[in-house]
Amino acid sequence: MLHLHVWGPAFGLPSIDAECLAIIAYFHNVLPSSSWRLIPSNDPAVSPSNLLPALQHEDKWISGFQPIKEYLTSAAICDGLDETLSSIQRADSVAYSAYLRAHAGPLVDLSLYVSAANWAATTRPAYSSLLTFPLTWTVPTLIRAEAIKRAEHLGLAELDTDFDPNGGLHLSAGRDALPETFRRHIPLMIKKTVHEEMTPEQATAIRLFGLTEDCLTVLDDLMKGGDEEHPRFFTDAAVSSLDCLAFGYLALMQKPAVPRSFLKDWLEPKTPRLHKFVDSMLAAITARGDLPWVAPEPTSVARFGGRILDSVLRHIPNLGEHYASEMRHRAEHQKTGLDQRALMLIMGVVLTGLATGYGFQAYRAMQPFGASTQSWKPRRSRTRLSEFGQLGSMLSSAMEPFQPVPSGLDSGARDQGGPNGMLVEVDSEVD
Amino acid sequence: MAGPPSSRPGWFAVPAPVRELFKIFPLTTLPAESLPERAPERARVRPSLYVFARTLEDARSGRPSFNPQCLKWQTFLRIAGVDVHLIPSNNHASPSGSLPFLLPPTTPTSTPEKQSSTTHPTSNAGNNLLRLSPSRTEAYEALLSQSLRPAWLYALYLHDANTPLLKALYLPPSPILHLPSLHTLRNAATDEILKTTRRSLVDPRQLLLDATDALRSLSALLADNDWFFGQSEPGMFDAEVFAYTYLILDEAFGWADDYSLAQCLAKFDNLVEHKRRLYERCWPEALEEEVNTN
Repeated sequence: MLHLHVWGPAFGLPSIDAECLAIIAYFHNVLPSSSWRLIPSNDPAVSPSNLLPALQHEDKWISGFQPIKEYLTSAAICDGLDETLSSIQRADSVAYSAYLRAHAGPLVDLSLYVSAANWAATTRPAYSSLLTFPLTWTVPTLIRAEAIKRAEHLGLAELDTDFDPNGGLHLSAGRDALPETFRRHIPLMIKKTVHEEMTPEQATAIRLFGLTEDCLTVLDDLMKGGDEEHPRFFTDAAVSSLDCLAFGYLALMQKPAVPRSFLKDWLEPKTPRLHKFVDSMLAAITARGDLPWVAPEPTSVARFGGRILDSVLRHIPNLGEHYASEMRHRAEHQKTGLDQRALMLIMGVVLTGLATGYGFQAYRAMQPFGASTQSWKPRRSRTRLSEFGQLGSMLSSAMEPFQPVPSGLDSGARDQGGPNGMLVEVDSEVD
Repeated sequence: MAGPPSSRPGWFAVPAPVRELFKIFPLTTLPAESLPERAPERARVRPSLYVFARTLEDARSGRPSFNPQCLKWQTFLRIAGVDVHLIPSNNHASPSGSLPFLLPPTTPTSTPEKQSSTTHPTSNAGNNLLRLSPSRTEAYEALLSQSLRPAWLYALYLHDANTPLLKALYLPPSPILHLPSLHTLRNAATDEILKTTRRSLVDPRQLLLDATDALRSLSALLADNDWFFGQSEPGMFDAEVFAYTYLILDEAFGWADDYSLAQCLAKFDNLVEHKRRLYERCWPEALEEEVNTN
């Protein structure tokens, strides 16, 4: 039995991740649904290489679209989808797969992750529905940070500096409700330029459309010719692995209902063939029957806590990066448990922590620099009248024979003596 | 009332004492300022290409650079028959922070100190040599950058056995700077590999498999043709492939044996032949040297 671990469904698609979508489409096309299980585990750490999709076959773990695809054919589990292709078509398939990863991947990252409006309205809620409670605060932001890093070379970071100009509280919002006389005195605070009025997607529209056009026309060119109703990249094969991978990326461009849909806006009118391709692939998947979903095994409390701690640690500025690279190093060299390097690191962190803590306490205990030492003594013997400056001390010396008892002391004494006094009174009444 | 105007100095005439004072200071024309240090001192007859090179001697004699990006443009300019002056340099010298860059020759009509604009080779590439089937070329270019480059980066920067080679090529000679520079280079290479492969770990075996896949596809694309895409003349894409294949197969490069891209590449005879063909075409003088030494 093959167990395929993926990110869970979102946007009406079987998965939120492009490569997971691609491998689901691939499996559904080559294998009968009785021979594999689809597990929305939503945790890359299930596989040793920390990546979803991950295939578990007996004791082996394989991660990533390409390796899984190759494993299926090399382990003779089933025939690959590319068997019928000629050698030049196979070469094309490899090249265009690389092209998809290099160019379509960053576009999807831009649309779903970098663009703040889309992230807040669509992608983050989708992740929230996949993950359980405390992880919804930590994990999606980490995923987003990675996506932003991947799309960095496109130079479109301004998509992130987004806010809705009509949603926030502006001084102009209530202006109409104010009486005319008041309105005249409130200065009109915002006089926006055209550029400021635009959303970041509108401001960078030319570059965005340029990128989208470059990427999608290349794919569209390869698909030219062939069946109009069910377009595929290579006409003589029913579905190839390139079709599956392209479906993964194109579906994520087309299906999510994002508020700033610059990818969909291009895809629908300009490359209708690609649009139709996504729909027909999706229809083909549903036509072949239900996907063999299986609920993931419940995670143990320790593992869940570990995941929360791990994601929180990664969020710590500076230290988080070191932690992440150290964890990567351990995973690459397949180390588990404590070894010398880990011990040294832990010792180092503990010692640094202790030293910092001690230093902080010592600093707190120090006098502020340049301040003279001041000591405060309670004044007991003096009367309260002397608190009123010179006049007070004159009065107090004049009224020396009469020493007023401090009121606090007075009432305290009366409280203590209260019940006794009452008793005496009662006694005298009885007499 | 008014006397004859010639006998009296006008309202705007300079008074005599001041005039005397100014006569003491002669008006002189200072010599022209010398150009700043970074300005090119002389007029360039040939365009100069700034590349990574092992030694000044290598650059003078126009030997292939050890950096794939530099070698790509060097080869392309040689294919196009542009005679360039190679200058060994490093990233700090470049206006954009990366090599190579090209300074066009100074033309006699322009004033040399004002118009020495820097141009990257990307902007002035010969259009007739460029892509004829653009979308397919782009897909195969992505194959180079997506599958072959990560394996190259791993082999050169991250593989421990190649550390001496990396030191010889990119690291500063001072031993104090070695360790931090090595660390920075390795971190940058790791980031780059992770970003392009879209994985969370660097897996050398998988990188090698991907590179082999890429080479197999290139081999299938080339088939029995002389140049890629069935052209009669080599083009940009040939130069790009050559930049990797030449350096991977170069025996004098100093690769360690245990992580070998060369072994993967040697399986594809037509790619090896393609590399030899392009080398003979672009570096005929190197061939003569070999004959002479033999």
